[in-house]
Amino acid sequence: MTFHFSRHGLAGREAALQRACEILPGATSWAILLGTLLLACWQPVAAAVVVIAFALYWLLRLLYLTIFLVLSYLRLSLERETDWLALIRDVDAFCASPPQAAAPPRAAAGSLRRRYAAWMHRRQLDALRRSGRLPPPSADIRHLIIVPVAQEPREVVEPGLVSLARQPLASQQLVVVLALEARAPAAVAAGIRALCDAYQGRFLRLWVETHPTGVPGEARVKGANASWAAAAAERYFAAQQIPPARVIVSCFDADTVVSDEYCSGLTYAFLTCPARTRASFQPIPVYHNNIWEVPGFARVLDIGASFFQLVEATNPEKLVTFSSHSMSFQALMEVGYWPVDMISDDSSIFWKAFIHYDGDYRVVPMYITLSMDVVNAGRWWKTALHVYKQKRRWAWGVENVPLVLRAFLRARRIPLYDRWRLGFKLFEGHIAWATWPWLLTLIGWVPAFLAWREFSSTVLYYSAPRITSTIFGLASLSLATTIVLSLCLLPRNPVRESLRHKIGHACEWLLIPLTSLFLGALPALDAQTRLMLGRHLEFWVSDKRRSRPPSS
Amino acid sequence: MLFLRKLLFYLFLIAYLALCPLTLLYAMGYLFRPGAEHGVMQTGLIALSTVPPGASIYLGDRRYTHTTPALLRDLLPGDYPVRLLLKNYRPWARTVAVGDGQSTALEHILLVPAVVPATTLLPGRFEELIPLPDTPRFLLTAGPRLGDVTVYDAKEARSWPLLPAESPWREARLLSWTTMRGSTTLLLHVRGREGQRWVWIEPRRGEARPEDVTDLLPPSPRQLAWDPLHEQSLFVWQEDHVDRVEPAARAVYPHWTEEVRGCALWDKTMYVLKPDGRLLRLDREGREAGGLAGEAAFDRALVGTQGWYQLEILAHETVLLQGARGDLLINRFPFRLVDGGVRGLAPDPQRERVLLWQQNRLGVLDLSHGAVRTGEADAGPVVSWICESPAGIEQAFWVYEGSQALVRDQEAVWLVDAAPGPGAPERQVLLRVKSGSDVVYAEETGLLYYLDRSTGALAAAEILPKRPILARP
Repeated sequence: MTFHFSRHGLAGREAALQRACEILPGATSWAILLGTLLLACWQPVAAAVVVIAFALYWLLRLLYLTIFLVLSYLRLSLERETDWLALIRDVDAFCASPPQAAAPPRAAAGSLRRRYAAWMHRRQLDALRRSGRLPPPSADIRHLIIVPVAQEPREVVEPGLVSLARQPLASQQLVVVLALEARAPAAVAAGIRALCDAYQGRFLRLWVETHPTGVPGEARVKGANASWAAAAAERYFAAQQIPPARVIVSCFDADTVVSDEYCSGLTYAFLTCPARTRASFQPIPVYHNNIWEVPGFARVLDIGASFFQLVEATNPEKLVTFSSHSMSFQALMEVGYWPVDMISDDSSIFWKAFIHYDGDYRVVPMYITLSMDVVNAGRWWKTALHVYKQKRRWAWGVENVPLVLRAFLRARRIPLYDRWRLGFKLFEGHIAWATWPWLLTLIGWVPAFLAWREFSSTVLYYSAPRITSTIFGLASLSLATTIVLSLCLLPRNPVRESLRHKIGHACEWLLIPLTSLFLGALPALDAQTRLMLGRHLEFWVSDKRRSRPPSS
Repeated sequence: MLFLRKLLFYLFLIAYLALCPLTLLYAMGYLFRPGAEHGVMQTGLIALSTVPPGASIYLGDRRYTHTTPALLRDLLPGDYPVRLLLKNYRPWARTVAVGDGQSTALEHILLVPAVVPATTLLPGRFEELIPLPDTPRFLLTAGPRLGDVTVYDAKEARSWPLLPAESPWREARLLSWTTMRGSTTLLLHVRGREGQRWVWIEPRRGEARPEDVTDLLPPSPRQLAWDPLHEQSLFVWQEDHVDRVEPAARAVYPHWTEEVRGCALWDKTMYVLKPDGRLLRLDREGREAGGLAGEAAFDRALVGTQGWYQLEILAHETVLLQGARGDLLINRFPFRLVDGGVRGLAPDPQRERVLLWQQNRLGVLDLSHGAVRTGEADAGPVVSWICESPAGIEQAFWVYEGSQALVRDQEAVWLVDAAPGPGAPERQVLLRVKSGSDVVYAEETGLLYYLDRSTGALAAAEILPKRPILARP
C-alpha cells in the first residue's frame, strides 16, 4: 500500500483526520483521569466499583505478564551459551542439501541449555524446510551497522565500536557507518573521525558519513541522520554488487554495546526466518553500561524497560521494534528508509514497513541482549529531569498513533482483525502508560478520601480499601519476582558491595509507585497532551555519562 | 510460547469474568446462603473501634473471636444488641441498627475505666482553678491575693507563681478576671492600696509584667474583648459603643464604633450586632467591611430592640448570639434555636457542632446539615437535648473527636455519648471534684485537670488513653 507516512504535506480531509487522530490519545487519557476523578466526587459508589474492577483487571494482567517475564527470562538465560556459529554452519549445511522430511527427534547430549538450543534449532530448520525459502550461504551475508551521532563524545561511542570489532568475521562481514550530524560540536566531530581512523581495518568497511543540516523535508531527528547514512550505504553496496537482500542493517544508539554473539545470533535469526526480507529483528535491550553509577530510581526504571521488552518478546504477533534493532536492508530500501520527520524512528520503521507491505511484516524476537547507557546527568535531581525528558521522548512514540490509525482506515488489504488487534494494542498501550499509575496510586483512593456521608455509610466504603489492599498485596508477588529477576539480570557491580547495599538495591523497587507516576505516567501524559495541543517535540539527546568502561 | 500465551490469556479472561462480579457483589455486601429461604441477600456491617482497643465483642449472646477494632460483616438487616467488654473498663452496650448494604460506624467508642486513673500534680490546697480556654495554661488560686496565684502549663507539665517575689502587685486582692478563648493573656480586676485597678498580664514564666490599664478603661466596662492573634488592642464595650485601647501605647480610641448591641473578635475581624439586627464585620479602623449572608431575614423582630448579645463566631458566615436571658439565636434559618436558659457554649468548629447547656440539660447543635433552606418543610439545624442533670451543669467539653461530652455539674464530672443510641447509658460519672471549682480538659493529652475534692490539690485524670494513630479496623 502506498501511504504517506508523515504528518507533513497533508491536505483537506487527510489533514483533518490526522489532526483528529492526534487529539484522540491525549483526550482519551484526560477523559479517563478527569472522568474517574469526577465520578469519585459525584458518584463515589460507582467510582469505587470501577476502581475495584480495574484493580482486579490490573492484578490479573500483572500476574499474566509476570508468568511470561519469567518464561522469557528463562529462555534468555538458556540461550546465553548457544554456539551461534555452529548453528549457522549447520544451517549452511542444511541448505546445501535440504532433506525432504523433518529430521527425526534425537536425544541431544550435554546440558539442559545445549539440549534446549538443539531442540529449538531443529524446529527452526523444520520451519525453513516447510517454507521452501532457503537462505543464502551465511558467508554472503553482510551486516550494516549505522551509529547516529549528534552530540555523543568519542568515549560514549568507542565501547560500542569495540564490541562490534569483537564480533566473529567483523573484518569480512561488518560495514559500519558512523553517521555524524554536521551540526555536531567540532570536538565531537573530531573525536568521531579519530575513532574512525583508529578502527580502520577492523571491519570490512568503516567510514564517517556526515549528515548535512537543513535538508528539505527533514526535522532535527535521529531518523533523518540514519536515513542519510543508509542512502550512502546503499550506494556502497551497489558499487560492491552486494544485493540488499543479503544485507542486515542495524541502527544502534551511539551508546549501544553489543554482546559478543550479537552478530552471529542475528545472522542465525535472519537465515532461519523464512520471510527474512519482511522482518525486523528485535534484541533485548538492557541498560548495563553505567547501571551502577546512576541513582536507584533511574536503575529501576530502565530495568523495568528491559523487562517490558522481555515480556513483549513472548508475543511476536504484536511485537513492535524498540530502540536499537535490526532489519533487512532490502525492506529498509523498499519502504524508503526511516521517517525523517519523526522522533520515534525505532517504532515508526516497523509501522511504516507493516503498512507498506500490507501487513506482511513482522518482528522476530531475539533472546540476545545489547546494552545501552542509563541516563546519568551527575546530580540526582538533574538525572531525574533528564530521565523525565527521555521518557517523554519515548512516550512521544504516540505520534505513531495518528499515522497508524489513518493508514488502517484505508488499508483494506490488511485483514481487519490484524488492524484492530495492532491498532488497539498501540492505542491502549499509550493510554495505559499515561493513566494507570495515576488510577492505581492516587485517583483510586479518592472515593475513600472524599467519603461523603451517603458513601461512608455503605458496606462498599469499608470493603473497597480492604479489597484494593488485598489486590496490592497479591501484586507484591509480581514485585518480588521482578526483584529476584532484576538481581539475576544485573551485571556484577565492579565495586564490591556489602549485604546491606544489596538489600538496598532490592528495596529500590519500592520506589516503583513514585517513579512510575512521576517518571512514567507524567511524561507520557505530557507527550500526549503536547500532541493533542499540536505542540510537537524536538529530538533531545539524553545526557549519558560513565566513569568506568561498560560492564560486560 | 504463542500457544501458551493464548491459553493463559483465555484462562485469565475467564478468571476475570468470574472473579470481578463476585468481588463486586462481596464488596457491596451481597451474600449467598443456600436454602429456599435465603439465596442471594444483601447484608450490612458494623464497624467498631474503641479506645483503648482490644475489647471483646458480643453480638447478642454470640462472642466474636476478633477484638476491637473490628468489622462485623455479613449481618442481615435488623437490630443487633452489641456489647463490648474489656478488663478494668466499664461494659459498653448499644442496640445497633443494620440496613442492607449499609454500614453502621461506631468508630469513636471511648471505654470508661472502672476506676478513673488520677495523679496529683501539685500538692497544696487550692481554692479555685481559673481556665484560660483553648490554651494549655490555667491559674490556681490558694488565697485571695495575686501572690497566691500559681500558673500551670499542662503542655510542659510545670507550674510557677503568677508574679515574681518582688512584684508590688503580690498583695493586691483578686476580684474578678476576664479571659479570651485562645489567649494566654488575662485582664485582672484587683483591689490594691490605690483602690480597684485593672491589670493586663500575660503569665509568662518568670517574665510576667503586669500592666496597670485602669486609667485607660472606664470604671465599669460592660464587656472586654481582644483578639488572641493581635493582643495589642483591647476592645471595651460600654453603653452602646466600643472603645479601642492599646495598653502598650497607652492610647485610647474612644467611640471606635457606635450603636452596638454585641460584639466579638474572630480571625482578626470584629463582628458587631447593630440595633436594627444587622450583623456587620468591621475592619481594624472600625469601618464596615460587609454584612453577613442571610442578614435580611435576621431582623429587628428577632433580636428585639433592647439588650446585649454575646456573639460566638463559628465560621466566616455563621454567628451564634446568646442573649442575656440565655436565648440562643443563629444568623441563618431557623434563626431562633433556644428560647432561654442557655448558660454556656462549647463550639467544635471543625465538625460544625456546638455543645450547649442549660441549668439541667445538655444539648448538641449540629450545623453540618440543614444549612440550606429549601422549602417550608425544611427545619434547618436544631438542638438535640442529649441528657439531663439535676445538679446544675457548669461546664462541658468535647471529648475524643467530638464523640463524647465531658460535663461538670456542681461537684461531679461525667461522660455522655454525644449521639446516644438505644441502649446507651444516660451518663457515666467519672469522678468528683472540689465543689464550685472549674475543671480543664485538654484533648491533646486526654487529661482532665481538677482540684481534688478532699485535699484541694491539683490532680489530673486520664479520660482519653493514649491511642495509636491508625485505629481503623
